[in-house]
Amino acid sequence: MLLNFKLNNFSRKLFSLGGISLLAGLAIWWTIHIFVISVISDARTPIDQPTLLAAAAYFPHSSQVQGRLAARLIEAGVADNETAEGNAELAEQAALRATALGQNNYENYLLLTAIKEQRGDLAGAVAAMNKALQLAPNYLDVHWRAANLFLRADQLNSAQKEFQAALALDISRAPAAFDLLWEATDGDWQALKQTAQGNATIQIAAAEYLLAKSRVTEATQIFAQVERTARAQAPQTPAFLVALIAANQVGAAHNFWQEITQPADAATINLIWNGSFEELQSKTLQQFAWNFTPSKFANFGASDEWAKSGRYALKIAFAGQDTTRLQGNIRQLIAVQAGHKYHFEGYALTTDLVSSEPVQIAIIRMTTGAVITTSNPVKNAGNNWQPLALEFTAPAPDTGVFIEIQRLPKFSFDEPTRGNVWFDDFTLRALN
Amino acid sequence: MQNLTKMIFSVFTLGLMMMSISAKAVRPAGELASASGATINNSTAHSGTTIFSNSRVKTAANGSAMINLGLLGRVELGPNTDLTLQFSRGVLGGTLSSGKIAISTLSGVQVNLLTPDGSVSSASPQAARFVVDLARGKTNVVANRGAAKLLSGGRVSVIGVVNAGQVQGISRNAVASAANNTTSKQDATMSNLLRAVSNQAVAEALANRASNQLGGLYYTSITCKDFFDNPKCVKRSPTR
Repeated sequence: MLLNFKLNNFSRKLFSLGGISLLAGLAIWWTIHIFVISVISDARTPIDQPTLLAAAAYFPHSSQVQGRLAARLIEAGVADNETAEGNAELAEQAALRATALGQNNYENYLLLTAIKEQRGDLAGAVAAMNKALQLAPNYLDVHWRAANLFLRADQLNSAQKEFQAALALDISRAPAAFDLLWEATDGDWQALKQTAQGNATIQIAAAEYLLAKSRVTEATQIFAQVERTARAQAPQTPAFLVALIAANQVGAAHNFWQEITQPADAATINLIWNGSFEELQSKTLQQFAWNFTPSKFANFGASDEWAKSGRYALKIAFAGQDTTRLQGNIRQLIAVQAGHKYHFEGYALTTDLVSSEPVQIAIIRMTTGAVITTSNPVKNAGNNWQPLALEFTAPAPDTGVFIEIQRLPKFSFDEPTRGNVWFDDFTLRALN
Repeated sequence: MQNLTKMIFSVFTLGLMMMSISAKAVRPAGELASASGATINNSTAHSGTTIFSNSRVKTAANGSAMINLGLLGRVELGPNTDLTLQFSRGVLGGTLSSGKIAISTLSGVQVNLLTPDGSVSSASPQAARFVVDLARGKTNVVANRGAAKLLSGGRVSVIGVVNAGQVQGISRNAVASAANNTTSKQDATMSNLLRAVSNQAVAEALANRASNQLGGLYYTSITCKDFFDNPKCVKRSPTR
């Protein structure tokens, strides 16, 4: 499209020039206006209070400038002015103007919330915060501030709802949120439970928090509510199980572990996990699986050269070193009940074993590391599977013991240990 | 008739219960207005977090925090600060273990802050702003507004009044501090004052009197125990 303007007389030329100048002037004025407002309302620009007051009077229709003034007056508060109440009133007026001019800006409502609360008007603060929540329903900061405000306003249900929304966006704030709820409710764990309800990640975080507060029963109760798959997949689950074990709640930890790692129908009375050594590591969590620590005295692993049953047995190949010590290198944590009696059975087979001290199964206290009992020693029995057995009563207050394969030197030096030993078909059963 | 009595009693009891519920006081709490590199009770601090009394607020080397306490006032923390904040209706303070803070209060709010060297409190009920800085084994106090009263630790305390625009310090070695200042004019005045000191109540009363009569003077003094242990001091039984 082509527009033709004929400027063939002076008046037309003058009129056109005037119009263009006016438009250019307006554009320049508007640009300067926008620029000044953006500079004044930028929190990084250091502007003193009188200048801001003057700017707010000059730009009465700028929500940004009114908002900046409100923020500055709130910031000044009691710090800069003896007439803090005067400051607060001015701040509220500016915040109200800002919200009226910028109705879709949640930050203006946050300012209004802050000033209302500062003036002791909690109901007004809550109303303004609800408006901010409507405008920014997916902002972490708004949910966090709302949760805290509702807590201060003694509106626990609303606070819990907002804490849940905030934690769903950022779970790293869980300890801080639970600290606040704990403090506000004088240690009512139900408040945490309700806040976490329906969100597996928050539930596990709540369980961890309660465990750290030594509230084991409540922690396990919340953890138990988490759906099985979510529990298995949650990155915090191993840490939670370790914390339960550290709190001497091995039974509870083992139940959770078993529920997560074993098929639902896998009922067994053998307390040892994978006593036939068909697999050495659990596919998911390792807390109650076989635990191997490398040793310079021997190599060990699953071997199919010999097997009492199934396909594999555990093979220990001694390296022929003097003063061989196997202690804590091959062990499994077992959940037991203090005072209950247990019976262990297993089998061993040797080839060319030379050892001046016995190779045997030992039961170790979880809390002290002391040996409770040991099995009969493994003998050179000419490629025949020989039975190993022991019985023990779990000492109080332990809720867990370690079963491990040991070879300890009696003195500071003994002759090199050589040869191989296979172990298979370990079982541990409660007798009463 | 018996039913009517029961009903009246029930309504009365219910009424009392409702009153007690509605009268349930909201626990005093502040808000972390802004924070950077700060923790509250060892959890990372986020702006907007509620601060209850007895909360421990710490800042890192480049950290800072500002806590709004509504009608009580405001507390600002500088870098490397460790403050256990305590507050209740009309009282704001806590324990400053390290770093630097600025406390601003509205009129009618009493400041009571403990430091490793003693305590800092407001000397008058007017609005106040004190900057308290623990540096080089000493508590330094600047009163930007209002007047601060300094009391040393121990059974009987160091007395000092800092008025607006003044700087004062409590040394962790009050004896050394006093010995170094024995020739000063102010110290002579304080020596007279100390002879009358026997307990903290008297000490505080004297501090108030000194504040009223000699506002603007700069005081350094020592505890009775320190005073008597100081070879430069004259031993004398404490008297009222």
